[in-house]
Amino acid sequence: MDVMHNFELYQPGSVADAQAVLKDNPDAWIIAGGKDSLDWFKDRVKQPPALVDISGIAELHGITAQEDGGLWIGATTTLTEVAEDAAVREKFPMLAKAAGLVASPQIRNLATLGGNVAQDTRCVYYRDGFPCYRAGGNTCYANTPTAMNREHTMYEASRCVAVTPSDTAPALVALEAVMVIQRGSRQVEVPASEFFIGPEIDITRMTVLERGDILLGVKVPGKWAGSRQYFEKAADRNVWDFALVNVAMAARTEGGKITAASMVCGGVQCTPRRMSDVESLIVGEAPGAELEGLVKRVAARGARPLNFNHFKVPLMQNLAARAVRSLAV
Amino acid sequence: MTGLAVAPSLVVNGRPATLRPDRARRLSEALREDLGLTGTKTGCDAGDCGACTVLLDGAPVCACLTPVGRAEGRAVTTVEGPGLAGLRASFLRHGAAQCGICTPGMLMAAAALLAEVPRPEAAAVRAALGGVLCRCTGYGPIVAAVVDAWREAPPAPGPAAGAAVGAAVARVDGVPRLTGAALYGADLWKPGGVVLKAVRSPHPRAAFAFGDLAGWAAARANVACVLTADDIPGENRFGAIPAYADQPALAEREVRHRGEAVALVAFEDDGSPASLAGFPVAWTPLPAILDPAAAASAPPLHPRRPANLLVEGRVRRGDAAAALAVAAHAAAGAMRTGFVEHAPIEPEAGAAWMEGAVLVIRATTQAPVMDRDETARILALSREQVRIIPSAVGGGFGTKLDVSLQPLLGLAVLKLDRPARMTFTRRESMQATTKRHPAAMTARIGCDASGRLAALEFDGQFDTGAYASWGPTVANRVPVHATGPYRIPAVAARARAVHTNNPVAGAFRGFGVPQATLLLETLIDRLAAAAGIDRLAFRRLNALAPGDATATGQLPGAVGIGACLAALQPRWDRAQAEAAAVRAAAGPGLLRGVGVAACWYGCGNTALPNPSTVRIGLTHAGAIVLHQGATEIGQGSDTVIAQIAADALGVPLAALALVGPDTALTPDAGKTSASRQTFVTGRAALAAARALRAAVLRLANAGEGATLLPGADGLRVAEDGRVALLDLAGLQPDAAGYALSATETYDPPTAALDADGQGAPYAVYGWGAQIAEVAVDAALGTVRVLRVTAAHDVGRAINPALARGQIEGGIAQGLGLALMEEYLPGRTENLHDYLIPTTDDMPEVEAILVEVPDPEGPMGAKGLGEHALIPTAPAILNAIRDATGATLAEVPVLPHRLRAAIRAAGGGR
Repeated sequence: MDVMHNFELYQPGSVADAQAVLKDNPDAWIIAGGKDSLDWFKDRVKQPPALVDISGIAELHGITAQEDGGLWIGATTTLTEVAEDAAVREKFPMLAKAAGLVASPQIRNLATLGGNVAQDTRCVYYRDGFPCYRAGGNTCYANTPTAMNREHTMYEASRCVAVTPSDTAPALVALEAVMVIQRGSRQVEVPASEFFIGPEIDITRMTVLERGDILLGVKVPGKWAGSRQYFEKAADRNVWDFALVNVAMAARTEGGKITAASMVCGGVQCTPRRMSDVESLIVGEAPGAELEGLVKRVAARGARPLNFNHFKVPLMQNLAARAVRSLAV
Repeated sequence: MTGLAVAPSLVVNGRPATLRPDRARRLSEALREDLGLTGTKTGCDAGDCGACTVLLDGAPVCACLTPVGRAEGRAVTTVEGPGLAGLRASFLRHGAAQCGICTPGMLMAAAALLAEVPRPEAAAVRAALGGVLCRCTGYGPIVAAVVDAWREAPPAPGPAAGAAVGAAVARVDGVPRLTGAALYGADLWKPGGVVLKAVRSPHPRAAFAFGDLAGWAAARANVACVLTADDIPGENRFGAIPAYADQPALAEREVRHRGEAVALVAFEDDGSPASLAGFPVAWTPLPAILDPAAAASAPPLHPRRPANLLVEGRVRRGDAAAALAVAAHAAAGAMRTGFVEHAPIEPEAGAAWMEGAVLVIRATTQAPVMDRDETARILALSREQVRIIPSAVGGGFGTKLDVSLQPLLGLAVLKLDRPARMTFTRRESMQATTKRHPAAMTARIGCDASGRLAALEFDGQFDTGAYASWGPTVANRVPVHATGPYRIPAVAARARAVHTNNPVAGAFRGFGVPQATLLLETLIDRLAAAAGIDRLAFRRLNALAPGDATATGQLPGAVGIGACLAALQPRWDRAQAEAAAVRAAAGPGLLRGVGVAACWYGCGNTALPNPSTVRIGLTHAGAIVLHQGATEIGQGSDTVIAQIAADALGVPLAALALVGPDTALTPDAGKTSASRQTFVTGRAALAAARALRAAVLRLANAGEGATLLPGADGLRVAEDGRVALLDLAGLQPDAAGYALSATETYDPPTAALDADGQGAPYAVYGWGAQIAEVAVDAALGTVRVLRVTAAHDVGRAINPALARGQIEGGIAQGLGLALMEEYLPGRTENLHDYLIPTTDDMPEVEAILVEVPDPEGPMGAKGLGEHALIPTAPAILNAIRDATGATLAEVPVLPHRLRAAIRAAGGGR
């Protein structure tokens, strides 16, 4: 029996109601599935006085077709729903696959797409309540000579070396999705590639979401619908484990050549990392052993591994090569 | 918007229910505390273990991550709910519940699947159960039970008199574990009591000082009292082995490991938050020994243990160095292992209260009599004043052999004269209880030109952590087992248990032997390669045979290793051929490999007494009552010992009424450890049953061939066609209150080890060997174990279904040891950073029961519980090496280690 601190649970029925609660309770915390949030509250590392459960807001839930051939996915749509939805599977199979590889079936039944992209980093030092940079302190406990940092970043470290833990985030970035946010009376649209932010922009959060913002949903444009897609995740365990590295790719081929490609890697930087070097390398080329070799050479270019995560370099290279290989068949 | 103060109403198991008006509480807590539905188990409070899985409008969710407000107006189905009869029956048939703590979660996840897919394939079952962790079964029986749940099988009739042994009877304690009725440590408490929380050290070593404890308590309405070491009336010291007892129930002045308790706070058990926030303790971190290699030169943690050496165990026979110098082939290597957490899905939990002058403690444990004695000593009570009634135990594997919360519960009850309960959080359970010893080992092994083993040198350093616990057992057991089940004429083996400020390392399935076997068996593969001999043939050539002496100079009573290896031969040939075919067909990248490893294991304490006593009584009404104090922790002792007793008495198994364990009602059957219960308590049960049978036959004036016929109206004896009802009413009650009873003790005959480790440390040995077949993704450094074939000599399979269950479960833990489990203090104190195998990590398992009867075992039986995991990890490492050429010198083989080893072996990027 673990005792959580006392907080109030608000369950608004509309976005407007939710905004009203958030206005009255500036320190309130939004939950939808509650998977990441309740874990945080358990050991009282974070203790918001109030929770706003947005899972009952009908307009935030569900998957609908868009005119451009894409999909609208409400923020509180569960990962199970994303993984099993016929339209997602047909148009954006890698998103369905990524959602289906998150955690466990029980978690996916309540966990939401919005929560999966907005979840906090898994850095064990940060989660354990160490007063690190991200937590407002002045040290990074994961970047010392003996720190356990096999799961940490290889790119864009800025004081903090934490990485994005999400499986769906790289898929959404690769699909050039747009996040739709209710900010005050406005709806703001932010491309997924800009939605995730690194420590150099704001070390205390992982996304552009500000206090009071409500993520309404994700527009996945028709651009990559029905394209060749690939998602793979390398982890320590087959089920219920966060990725060491994952890769998401959408591509089109014609006449044996790659005509367009969008590839993103997770688990290597604080935000999903666009693999632009690979993209520009492979477009116009025919997949094959030679191209795979070249892909491996550029995939992890610029990586600056920490003491214990050098192994992520070949993981990144090999996952990128595998994604390209998938285009050969 | 829903109002805040409104109590949430929902429908639970088809009935309306109203919960306390706190909408943010966990649904799991509300179900258990408000509605008394304790079938929903809490293993982690973090969505990691899935034990609390319930159905929310039919969909499986973790109740611990579901705020009750979320369930408003919805239908919740728990394990106590309707519609589970078919699944339960199938679980019972397949032995799918061992300890039973994950069973409610498994049943609910399965029920959701079956509602959609009535006859699912195994793969769909594995996917659906992916979020529920099981530490006992290895998942195979559970998946089989779900696949088979559609089938309506009539309940199997119980075995006839005399036919219980050898029958795969369903476990006698099975049904309550499938209905949610079994009461585990956290499920039983008295109202009006207190809830205990321990204040624990965040540092591996620190001095500490309390501030104003009384003021802190007084400022909190729900704090009943604060207790510290100063409140302990007796000797503030416990330890599994009395001569080494060194661990305080609450630390005095200094803590020696992270998670050590310094104070206990009793909160009113009224649902108010039990918060330790602001507890007035000031820590002064002190230099800590974290590296066992540095322990020798560091100041000792304990007086009279210079160089921080707890115990050094040795076995010396012949001149190993000289023999190695002239060996035709030799292999040398090193192996490191980390801390491994037992991770029973039930954390430590229990409740206590006074009954008259007796302190009753009902808690999860593997060793009730040791708990009683240690609790009595700490609390300055007599043994008669402490009664330990083990709760249902949700997994142990060695960690519940040490007292944990028993003295703390007792202390609070004595101080307050009120009932108390305590449940460790998952983090506490991981921080504060014992671990498998990390080992740093080196060895050299050599053979002659024909491949016959000539000599072995083995040296192991075992990080025993801050306190002794079972460290001496590990240090003494490892050198004896260092040779494996092989004939090696010259041996020099040494194991040292060394103190550090790391977690306390204690008993964990195998007591150090799994670590040592990892090194030995991987070196044997290399030696076989050097000698140019097939790896299985090499092992068969060198396997101990009847008449061969072990390295301690003992001639084991029955030697089954040859039979185990022989049973593997056709599977080995098939696996080798299959792997070769896959290698030929597949492109680069995905690699297949096959490995084999063997084990032996001495059952019971190492050259120390470990008696068990069993009583069987015949009531004046003619009922037969088996008092057996062996603690069932999921392995099946309740069933196996009853089977032995039933056959020895000559009555049907169903005729036995079972009592125990309970230190007030059952004689001491020792601890559930060292694979000793089937053997040692089984022998005591055999003797007691035979003695009672003889007494009954004397009373009936019948011969040995007579038949006992228990019935509702009394016990009849039949002989030569004559049937007579025994007249028991007139008999004076004996000392145990029975018309007739027999109490028998068995202590395995052993001979002490001398300074060179020569002697007869165990009366019975078990034997086994396993083949692992793996697929390696060299690009990502990941391994999938495809199949494990396990042949284990159990002497006589008292219950083949339970024996297979032990083997499958052992393999799961061996796989975890090999591939993913590594406890890092402060880093992996939960069940998602600490990885144990899930359904989808498990291979197909074939368990082969070999029966080479041991004259010392009951009906020939030997122990099995620990043996099963010993060969798994080395077989997997050998298979990885077969696939990749990579030599692994450290487990777990996580992707980064495998990638590095493949590169070191010259493999590509």
